[in-house]
Amino acid sequence: MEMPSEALEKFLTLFSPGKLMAIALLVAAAWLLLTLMLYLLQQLALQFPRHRLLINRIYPLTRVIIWSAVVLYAVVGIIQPHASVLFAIMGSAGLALGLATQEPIKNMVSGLIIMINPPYRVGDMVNLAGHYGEVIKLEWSVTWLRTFDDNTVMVPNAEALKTAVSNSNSGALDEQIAVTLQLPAHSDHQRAMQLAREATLCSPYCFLKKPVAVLLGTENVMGQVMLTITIKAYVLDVRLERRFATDIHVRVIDAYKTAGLWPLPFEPVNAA
Amino acid sequence: MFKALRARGQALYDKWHSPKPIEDTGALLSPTRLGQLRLQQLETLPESVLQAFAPDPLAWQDPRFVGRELALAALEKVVAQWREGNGRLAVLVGPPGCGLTSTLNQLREQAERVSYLSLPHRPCSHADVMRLLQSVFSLDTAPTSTSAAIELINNLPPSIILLDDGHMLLARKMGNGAALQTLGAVLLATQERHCWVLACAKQAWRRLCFMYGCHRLFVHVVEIEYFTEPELTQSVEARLYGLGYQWQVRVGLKEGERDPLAPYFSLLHDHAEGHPQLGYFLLLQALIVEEQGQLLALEDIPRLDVAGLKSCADDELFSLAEIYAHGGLHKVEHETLFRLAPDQSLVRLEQLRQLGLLVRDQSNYRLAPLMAQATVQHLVNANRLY
Repeated sequence: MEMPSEALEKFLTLFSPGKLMAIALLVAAAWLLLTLMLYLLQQLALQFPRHRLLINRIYPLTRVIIWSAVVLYAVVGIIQPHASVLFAIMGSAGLALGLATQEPIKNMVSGLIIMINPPYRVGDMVNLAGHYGEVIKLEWSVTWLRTFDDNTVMVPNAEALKTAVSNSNSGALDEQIAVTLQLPAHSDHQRAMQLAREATLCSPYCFLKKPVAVLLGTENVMGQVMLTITIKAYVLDVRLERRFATDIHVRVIDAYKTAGLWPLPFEPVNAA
Repeated sequence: MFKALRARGQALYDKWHSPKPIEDTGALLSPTRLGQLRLQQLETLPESVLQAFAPDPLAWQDPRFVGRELALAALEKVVAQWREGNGRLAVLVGPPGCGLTSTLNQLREQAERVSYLSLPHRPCSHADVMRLLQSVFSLDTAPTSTSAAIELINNLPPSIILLDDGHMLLARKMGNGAALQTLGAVLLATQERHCWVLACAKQAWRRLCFMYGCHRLFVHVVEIEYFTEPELTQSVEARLYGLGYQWQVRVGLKEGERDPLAPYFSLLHDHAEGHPQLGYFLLLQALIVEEQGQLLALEDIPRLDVAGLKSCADDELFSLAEIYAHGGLHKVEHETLFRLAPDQSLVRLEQLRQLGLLVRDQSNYRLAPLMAQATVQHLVNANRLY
């Protein structure tokens, strides 16, 4: 039977300076390749903004594949451990890593699942773990969002698979926006709906290829019945979501003011 | 399958036998210099050549009208069907500068009375539509209501009505929808009495279809595109025909020999992407006329420098997109559309003009015709136009 000192000696011989140098070179080459690839993809996305969602999808999965290949080649091609050593290391390292890094591993596996079967992609507008924003980076273990307050939020990937994810555009550049306005119950609701639709169509950010819907409802606000006008329209680009919502508000309020349906809703309604 | 294989074989044969492409060494023309270059052309080229390539629409039966035979036949069929009592609304759609007005002009001589009207303003109210109908039918007063207009128009002698500049029907403005509904009602109710043919720029037509479903009203949609390579070649030849010039490289050319000009026309089409006006401009830029021998020669064919488009800010791209879709915007229309202060709007428009992307006609701004195609491609690519 092999003595522990001999096993250790064998193990150490696996990591000769030459092999370590080769691994370092391999890692450097992979890093350079990925940096170059990221740069080129970013340039490509800038050149073809219309296809930026598709282009941004390429990097996360490619990075996982390249790093996996690097690890595999470093172990099998460079270190070339004896099968028994390999299994021994894998067994003990697996146990140790499994116990110590349960959460990160869970996140990484979740990240892999997200990349293969994505509930969202880079560029999508999502509501993730209570945060709403654009997915700016999809890493192996975490997802980065940029919110409308310009905050960068990091969400562990395991969280994305554990909770419900709401995706506003699902890989498309356009996205539906809902804007709700209130009017007193006695307002001319048909005129209000017509004006809302027309004013929305006037916005240069409105994606006209998709329909504009105006829905009417009622709501009880502080004991008063109010009409709610909900405008559902598509914005040309997800990044213009807030700008479009504001634009609709301004245009519809302007139209209501011109038509005499505003300023309300808090004006008291005369009983007569 | 056999047909496809034969076509593939024919294409390979043609490629093998086509003349060698020439080296593309043409200069890059900055959009800001185009006006200056146009003036230089006026000084260096003979008047007859400049006249032949003038950008004005071609009149009825002008021999320079080529390459639009299919569209013209389709429109003539529409008129024939109307004569048979099966009148339906027709629209001629194409990108700006592809020859919509010239094609429409070919219908101006008919047995019936023909009214031609270039739409003067964007209808945004019922009264605007009534005034438009008054202009079309030369009425003393504008009709008071839609039903009165329909009755009045249906009592007039049958006529063919050619409405040009259909992009003027589009306005992202309150009241435009209602106005178009009124106009649509009148057109539908009078389509059997009168033959209505509208010519509309492609982008505006798409918008009208998206917003108001106009494609449901117009049964006949005749589409034309920019010239293909043979069409551009044919058009250039037709414009030079009868001027008494001869291509230098064709002197002494025997029958059956390869045309030495073909690679030049191929490059010209490539640089202009079939846009007639741009093609003629680039051709004139490369053209050398030897007056004594009445010979024509070509230098390297230049191309447009479109790098300046990349410097446009996001808001500027939106302005360009809307100006293109509307076929031009008045300064005030631009202000209203983008909710800008007058000065802010003017600064944006003037900056774009300085870049050579817009031209100004009084206070109306439209895309510079020669840069229009490159601008549109950039806007589509940047997801600002669809």
